[in-house]
Amino acid sequence: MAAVVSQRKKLANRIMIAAVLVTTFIMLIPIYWIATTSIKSFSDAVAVPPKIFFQPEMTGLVKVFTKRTQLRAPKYKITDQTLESLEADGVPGDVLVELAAVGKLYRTESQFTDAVNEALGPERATDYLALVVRYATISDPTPEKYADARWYEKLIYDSGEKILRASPYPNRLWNSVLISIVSTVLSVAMGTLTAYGFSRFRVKGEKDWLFFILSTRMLPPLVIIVPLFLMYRAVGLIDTHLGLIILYTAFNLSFSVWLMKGFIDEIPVEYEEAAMIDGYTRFEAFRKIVIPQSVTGMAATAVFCFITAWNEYAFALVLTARRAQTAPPFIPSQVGSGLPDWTAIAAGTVLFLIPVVIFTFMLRNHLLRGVTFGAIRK
Amino acid sequence: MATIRLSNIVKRFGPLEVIKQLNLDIKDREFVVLLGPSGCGKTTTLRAIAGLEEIDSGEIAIDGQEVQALPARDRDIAFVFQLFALYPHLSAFDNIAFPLKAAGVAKNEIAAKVKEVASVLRIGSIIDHMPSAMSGGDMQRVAMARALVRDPKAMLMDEPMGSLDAKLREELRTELKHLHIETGSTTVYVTHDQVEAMSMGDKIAVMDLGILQQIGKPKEVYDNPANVFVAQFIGSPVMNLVDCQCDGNGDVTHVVIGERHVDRFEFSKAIYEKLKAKDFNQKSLAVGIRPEAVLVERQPTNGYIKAEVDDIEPLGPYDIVDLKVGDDVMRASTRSRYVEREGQEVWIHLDENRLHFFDTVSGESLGI
Ligand SMILES: Nc1ncnc2c1ncn2[C@@H]1O[C@H](COP(=O)(O)OP(=O)(O)OP(=O)(O)O)[C@@H](O)[C@H]1O
Ligand SMILES: [Mg+2]
Repeated sequence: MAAVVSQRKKLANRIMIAAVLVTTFIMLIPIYWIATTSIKSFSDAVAVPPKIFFQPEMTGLVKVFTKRTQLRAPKYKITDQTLESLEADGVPGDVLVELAAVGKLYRTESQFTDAVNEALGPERATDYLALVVRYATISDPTPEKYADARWYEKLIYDSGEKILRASPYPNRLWNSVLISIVSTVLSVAMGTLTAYGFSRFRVKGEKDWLFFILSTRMLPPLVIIVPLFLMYRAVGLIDTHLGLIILYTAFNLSFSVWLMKGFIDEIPVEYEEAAMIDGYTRFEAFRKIVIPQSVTGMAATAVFCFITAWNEYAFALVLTARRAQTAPPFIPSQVGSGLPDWTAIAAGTVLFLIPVVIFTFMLRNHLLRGVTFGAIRK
Repeated sequence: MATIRLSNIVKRFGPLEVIKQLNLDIKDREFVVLLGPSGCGKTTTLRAIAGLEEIDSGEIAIDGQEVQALPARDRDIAFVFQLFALYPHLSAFDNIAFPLKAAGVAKNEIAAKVKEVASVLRIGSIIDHMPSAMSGGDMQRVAMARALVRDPKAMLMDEPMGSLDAKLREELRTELKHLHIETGSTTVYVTHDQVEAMSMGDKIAVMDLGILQQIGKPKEVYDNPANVFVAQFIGSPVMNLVDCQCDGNGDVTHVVIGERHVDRFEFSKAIYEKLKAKDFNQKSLAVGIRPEAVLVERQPTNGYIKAEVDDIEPLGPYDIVDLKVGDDVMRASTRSRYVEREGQEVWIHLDENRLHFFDTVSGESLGI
């Protein structure tokens, strides 16, 4: 009988493991997708059906960090340089003389060939046209420029663009980091203190207060975005770090209070009472007893707050423009004109993912215990 | 070390009066056990002394100084909790050192003191362990070490052994007793285990419903319970309490039990006279007798009355026997296997020197 039970258990275990693997696999698909897109060439990225095997390249990554413009179409002009080259290739002098008369700059090849035809007459033109076009073409970039370019400039030239200047993406990432960390620290700290108060003292109308705090979270953020914009404009908080920090702190606070209250309620009052009998003030007891025992909860809360602030898009889009703009509204601004450049967007997104991964990973030990909400007793 | 004096303490939780006019006087170096059923206010009393609970009226004096307005940290008292006795995030050493750090004691002095108290309590080997790696007994020892280490004015313990198994309790009981003799700390110890109370207390204070029922040496409380509650709360099995009538007929006292007035015990005349002196009420009289003071004979004996064995409960060293006397049931403790079977007829008498009489209306002992 026991053997049967354990057999069954084994099977159940296997099924569970399989289910976990399948779930993990499904969850990882989008991440795989975005990560591979970020190192594909543009044509591979938009290929249908999607390519599994491809030549990885850094173009997407370079694009996020640069402001670029389309390369100009080639222009045609017969310069001294052109004549020298033609002479070196054995073009007779009379032809050169007549060609020298075609001094204008032509924007299209057909206009240029027309001009050459007219200057040389149809017979000679057919003999020399190809050569003339070749030496008279002013390409963008010029071959010398291309030869001198650095590897990343070449990648961009190859994709039909040229770099104007560095993009503000590093700055946007920095804004994201700064705003998210500061607002997370603030909302966890304030949330912990508030939760401690609610947990340990008899607060009149405690239930109503807690519900009110939670209710601030029930309104869809977009509903208040316009009034908020007007208020922020009036007090000069538009496009400031402080503006977003205040907003995200307020936004996360309700969540932080509720979560931390759950954790602090789990800590027996006796520990603090013991500390107060041992000669400490209430605040010291809070610092030395409650804080060390709620780090798990604080870590879990911090991860949730950080992720919310980090991912926030709508407010950042409306309330910031450049100085305090965070990464989320910046990345899609890369779409630009014409076809969206998925490789650049993917590369930006992958970079954007890394800090959250690091942050979550650093706190993973606390997180595992934290998300079980004290269900596992020490 | 110090004296503790509680005068007219009242504590309410909302409309509920949990402690009613409590007076308690604890001498220096005394070990007082607060004993009472669950919910009678023992913990609340202790917390009031420690300063964890504000009292509604009355005075608390430690060493003659009124402290009811002082916060807990200024009362210089140690408290050992039943559960959650140790800070879970600190090692044994840090737990014991915790109160010293609050007092700003120098590091090397802390180490020396912790070491000393650890050796007294024999926890030197686990001094670096975290609470999660300790057994229940070790935890309570460390908790006591933490209480002792700063030499407080008084030690308060709230069922410190409540969660331990019987064997460990016995062991710790002896240790604690010795520790108390050695350190001589004024101690208030809460328990609802009367064996603990009897064996450890210099004095036992019995509480019920927020009222102090009786305080005295264990022997006093056992031998002269002040009222029905104390009589029946202390002692196991509980004291027999039977409604009775009493009359003095010439040279003897008759104590008649049962409806039919046929079962009468005969005692010396002095009993009746003492009762009469107390102005007793015939209609509300009850006689109390501890099971070990019920004398049982297998043969008819002069002055004994007949009873029938209803139930035998063998406990090893002695048996508890339920005896039917008329309509009443009395429990007696006998030598083991003295009474052989249920339904057997035996003859019983009551030890005259160990009779108690109570007024069933007021519940008070008549003090015989
Ligand atoms: N904070 C509180 N709020 C309201 N009522 C309380 C509070 N603390 C205790 N009580 C009530 O006061 C009464 C006495 O409680 P107390 O804890 O002192 O009893 P106790 O004698 O220690 O019982 P036990 O042996 O179960 O520990 C109980 O009825 C309890 O419900
Ligand atoms: Mg209690």
